[in-house]
Parts: sequence; C-alpha cells; structure tokens
Amino acid sequence: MLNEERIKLMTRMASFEENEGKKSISITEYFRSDYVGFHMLKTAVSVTLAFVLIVGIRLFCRLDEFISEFYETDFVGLAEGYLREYLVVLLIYLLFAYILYSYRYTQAHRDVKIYQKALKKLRSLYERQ
Amino acid sequence: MANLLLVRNQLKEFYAKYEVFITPALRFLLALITYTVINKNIGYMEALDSPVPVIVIALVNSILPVNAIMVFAAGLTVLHLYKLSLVCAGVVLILFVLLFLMYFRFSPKDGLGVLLTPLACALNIPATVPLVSGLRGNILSSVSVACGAIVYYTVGYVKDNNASLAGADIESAVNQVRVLVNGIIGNRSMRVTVAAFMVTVIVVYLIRRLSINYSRIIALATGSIVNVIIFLAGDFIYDLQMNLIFLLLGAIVSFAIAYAIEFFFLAVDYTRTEYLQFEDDEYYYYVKAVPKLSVSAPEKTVKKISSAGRGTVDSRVRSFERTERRRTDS
Repeated sequence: MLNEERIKLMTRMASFEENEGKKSISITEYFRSDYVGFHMLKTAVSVTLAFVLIVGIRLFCRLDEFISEFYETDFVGLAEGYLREYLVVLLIYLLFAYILYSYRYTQAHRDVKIYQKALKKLRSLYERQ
Repeated sequence: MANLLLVRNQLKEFYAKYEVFITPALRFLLALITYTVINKNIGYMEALDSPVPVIVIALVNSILPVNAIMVFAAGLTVLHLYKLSLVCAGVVLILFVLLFLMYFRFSPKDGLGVLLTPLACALNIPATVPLVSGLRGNILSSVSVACGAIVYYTVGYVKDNNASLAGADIESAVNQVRVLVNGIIGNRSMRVTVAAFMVTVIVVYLIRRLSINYSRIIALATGSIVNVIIFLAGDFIYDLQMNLIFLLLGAIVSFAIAYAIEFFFLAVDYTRTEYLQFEDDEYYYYVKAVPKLSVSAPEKTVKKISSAGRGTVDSRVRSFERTERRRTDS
C-alpha cells in the first residue's frame, strides 16, 4: 500500500541527498581526523606549488644578476632564506586549513544528524505498518 | 512597493516553473559576455576573436558549472596574450595558476564572484560584487572577489602596455618579465582595490549575521561607506588620482544595484521544481516536487510594507481588531 506520510518523508530526504546533503554526507563518511588531515595535505601541496612558482619568477627576474656574479652569489644563504620563508607560509596556511576544515566537518555533521533523525523516523513508520 | 512585491512573486513563480531552462540560459549569457569582453579588450589572436568560436564555447558552458567559464576565460586570455608575446602569456599563466590554487582551495563555489568582479570594474560599479558576495557568501568569498580584482588589473596593465610588451626576443625576456611582474604587483590601484573589496565583503558578512532588524540593509550601507573610505584613504596615501565624483557615483549606483539584487533575488527563497527518484521494498517512486509558492511570501510582504512607514496593513489589522472587540463587548 502507498503510505502518504512515508512518501513525503522520503521525498524530503531524497531532496536533501540530491542537494545540500550531497557534500555533507560524503564528508561525514570520513573520520574527522582523516578529513581534516587529507585537506591539510592538499593545502600543503597547493602552497608548495604556489611557492615554487613565486620563487621561480623571483629568481628568473634576477637571472642576469646571477649569471654576471655567479661566484659571488651566496646560493646556500639564498636557499636557506627561501626555505625559512616557505616554512612560515606553510605553517600559517596549515593552521588556517585546520581551522577551516574542522569547522566544515562540524557543520556537515550537524546537517547529517537531522537526516539521520529522518531515517529513524522512516524506520519507525515501516515498523508500525 | 506592492507592485515590486508582485513582480518579485512573479519572478519566483517563473523560476520555479522554468528553472531547467533559466539556469543554462543565464550561464550561456554570462559566458558570452565574459568572452566578448575579453575579445574586445585583448583580442590579439584573430582566430578566436570572432563570434562563432565564442558562441560555440558559450553554448558548451551552458551545460557546465560556472567554474568552467572561469577556466575557459583564463585559457582564452592566455591564448590571446601568447599571440602578443610568449613571456607575457607565461607570466599571466603563472599568475592564473596561483589564483586558481588559492581560489579552488578556499572558496570553490564562488565562481560568480571571480567572473563578475572584473565585469563590474569595467562598468565602473566595482562595489556591487563585494556587497552582494558579502550578503550571499561568507568571509572566504573575499578571496574570490580579490582574485577577480587581480585579474582585472592584470589584464588592464597588459592592455595598456601592449606595445612595449609585444614580441620580445629571448634575450630581453628577463627584463620583460621583471617589468611585467613589477607592473602587476606594484600596481597601487590594484592593492587598494583588493583591500577595499576584501574588507567590504567581510564587513557586510559580519553585519548581516548580527541579529538586529534590517541587518542586511545596514550591512549594505555600511559596506558601501567602508568601501568608499578605503578608496579615499588609498587615494590619500598612494596619490592614485581617482575621480572623486566617479567614485561616489559608482558607490551609490553599486549600493542601489546590490539592494535591488537583495530585494528581488536574495531575500526570497527561490525553490525550484525537483525531479526525484527513490525506491523502497515495494515501489519505485518518480516524484515531481513542485514548491508551494504562497507559503512564506505573505509574512515578508507585511513586514516590508510596514517598514516603509505607511503602516497600512498594521493599522488595518488594528482597526479590525478594535471593531471585533467592540462587537464582542456589545
């Protein structure tokens, strides 16, 4: 038999799964530490790539200087300076990513809780039948 | 006021019915405008600077997400610059990669902000996009608006200096890269604009989240004022020689447009007809869920009219209550 109340509930749930819930549900399939850690890793890769590009351009701009003063240039000191800069930038970004993705995880968890309540209600509707 | 509310309801009804067609059509239009503006300004590669490829790409974009328009627009820009000079294309490509890294990491849903910011800057109503982003998005929308502003000033710089940037040989490449990087990064107008936009987005977002009456309108007004103040401060510090009248006029027009967008599009919950499929043990369900349109709108209506100071509905309700009371007393 078609049960109207059940269909309404299922429709709402399907709509949630299709739209706003799509992301939340996939996020909550991870453990918090896995989700946040994975995104911090992605952030680290992005920051590294961006930093390499920026340093590349900066070095390229000074290319003629390096060629003309090849023996006088302190390449080790230069590399150390860039490395220090890189670590500071990376740390700031990772901290930021940690806060951001922890927040997103919490949000997703809260959304999915409502969905799980609906699931429970659906089960009770079936059992009552 | 009542007429505007009527228009708003009709818009909502129209969207609920024809969403399937409206969204792709809007994406097509946005893509078309974006590519046309790029071609008009830096159309150095003739093969791409004609209506046919533009329309074809825009048609493809109508079925892809908004972010695709951004990627295509970046590609188009780099191709045009490649015709101008390899070095120029390389530097701008690197800049785009940097912006994409920043954008996709932190606010991958704000493609509209990135696309519309340069368009709004070109139309001299720059504050519109940060104002609307602050109302619609969150603090991270400031990243996408900043990306848009950087793109606008980069392309503007290349366009203004195309003669000196064109066709360099490899020996002067180092020099050219230096000039270009300094020209883009050292652009003070760009720095001031980016700062103004980011602060505006954040201010609007923070104020609209406050639980006070009319927080959204207050947020818009404050955001506009903050935006103008930062531009003025930047002008004062860096001596940018901005046109004050343009700045103020632009701010007022931006505020008006942002308010109109808020009134017609953001304050209303645009629900659309949904087609859903699911199953249980006994049946497959193919559900077409059509939103009921007049459920939440009347509440808003009453609030808006009384806010205009006329109090017509309120007073009518009150007089109705008075007569009722009198009738029950007698």
